[in-house]
Amino acid sequence: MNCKEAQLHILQFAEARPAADVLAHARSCEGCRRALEEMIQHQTWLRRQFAEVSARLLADAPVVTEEMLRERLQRLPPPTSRARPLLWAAGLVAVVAVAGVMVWQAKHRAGVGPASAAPPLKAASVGAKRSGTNVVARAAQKPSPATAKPRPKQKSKLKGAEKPGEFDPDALEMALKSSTPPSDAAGAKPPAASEAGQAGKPMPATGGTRTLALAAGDVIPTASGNIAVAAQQAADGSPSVSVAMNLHGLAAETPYTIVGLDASGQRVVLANVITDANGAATAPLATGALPGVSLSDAMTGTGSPGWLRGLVVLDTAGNTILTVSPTPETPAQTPAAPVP
Amino acid sequence: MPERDFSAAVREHQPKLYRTACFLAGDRRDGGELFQDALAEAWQDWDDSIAREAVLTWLCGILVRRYEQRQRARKPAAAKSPAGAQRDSPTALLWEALDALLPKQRGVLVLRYAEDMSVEQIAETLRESPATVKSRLGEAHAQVGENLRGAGIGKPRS
Repeated sequence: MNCKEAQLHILQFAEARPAADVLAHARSCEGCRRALEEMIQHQTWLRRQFAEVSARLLADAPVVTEEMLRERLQRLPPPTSRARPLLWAAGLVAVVAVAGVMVWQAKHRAGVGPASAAPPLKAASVGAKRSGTNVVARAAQKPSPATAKPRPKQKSKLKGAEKPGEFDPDALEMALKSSTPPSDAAGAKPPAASEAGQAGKPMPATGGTRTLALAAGDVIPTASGNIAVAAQQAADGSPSVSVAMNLHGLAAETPYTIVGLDASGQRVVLANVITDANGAATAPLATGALPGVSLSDAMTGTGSPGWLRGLVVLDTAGNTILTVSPTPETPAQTPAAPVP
Repeated sequence: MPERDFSAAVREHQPKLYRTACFLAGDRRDGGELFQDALAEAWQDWDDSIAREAVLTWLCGILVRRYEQRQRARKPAAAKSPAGAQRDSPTALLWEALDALLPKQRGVLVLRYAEDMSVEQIAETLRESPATVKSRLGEAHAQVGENLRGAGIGKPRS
């Protein structure tokens, strides 16, 4: 222990006797010994003086009755005014919360208008690894930085009148189930759109569903797959699209990556899937609104750029397992389930 | 409000609380005001669940916090000695030494010497850490030491 530490201990000394190390230091250091003696004398003096004054004060202590306290309480600020700072703080928090909600709503309301201010589209998250770009977002006129962020949820969070028409999930599921993998999908011919549901009927103005076959590459000729698209036209005319992929005939319990091209032509990972024991997998790719794109373009993925562009399924080695034609044929459409 | 329970609980502590209030406030008049304010606040906040042995600590905590509030609201006043204390008397020297302290230092020193509380008890009363209390006590000792040294008290043996 040095002198500085010893002096600090001496000043803060509040025990019955000094600590052993302080005493040991004071024995060898004249200055600290004097400081310790002085502190002990000061404390002794303080105790004596406090005791003397205490005796007089205790003897003269008044007795406070409840009446006096009641009277005193009337003069004290009432509990409400004592809690006034708390009330102010609570009010401030409420105002900030309301302002935050209003800003959030205004932001999303503005997002329905121009394409550049489109609400962020929700990409599907399949598997642990997920790239930032959304297959549907690529169809937006201008790529938004917001769409480059991972989206943990699939459904749009827009509310009320600003919310684009939601899909009937059953419609998408039905479209996937009804599209059996084509037996000649292993061929080298480009994939053709297969009809699902009530082909030949004119597409209703509100939207519809569509399936598209994928073509197998040389690595796994038995592989097959379909893309299911469901589109719905919102009140403002901009369509909302939901895209899912159904894969068959792949290696069991094996990871595959679904890749597409973003607005700048860069290859981006859209989803990672792991097949089941039968070598099949379903990957919801994306869902979201496409302002400024016609409903038919949204359905076919032929917007500017189309969400279908460069869509391929790769294995872990980077081999192309399934591909889709970059210029798909105009598909037949089925009416979507009515929006509830 | 359980008035009867409160009265019974604080009755035995009232003289000690008054004494501490006087040491904090610096004279009997202000001490009496502080004592009654603290009691009224305690009466308002009284909770039956406060343990019997913890009542004095709880009351002292209210008293010291109230004293610190009052000191913050007040302009710094000239040092005062209680009526009747002769100039140069040990009592006057004590009040002078106490008046030289900051409110937080004074609260710690008064609890230490008037209530004979340990550092841990003071920390519990003031809802502070023992290290903070030790630090304030050290500062208070240093300040009081200067006053006492000036008065020739506690001169170490050469």
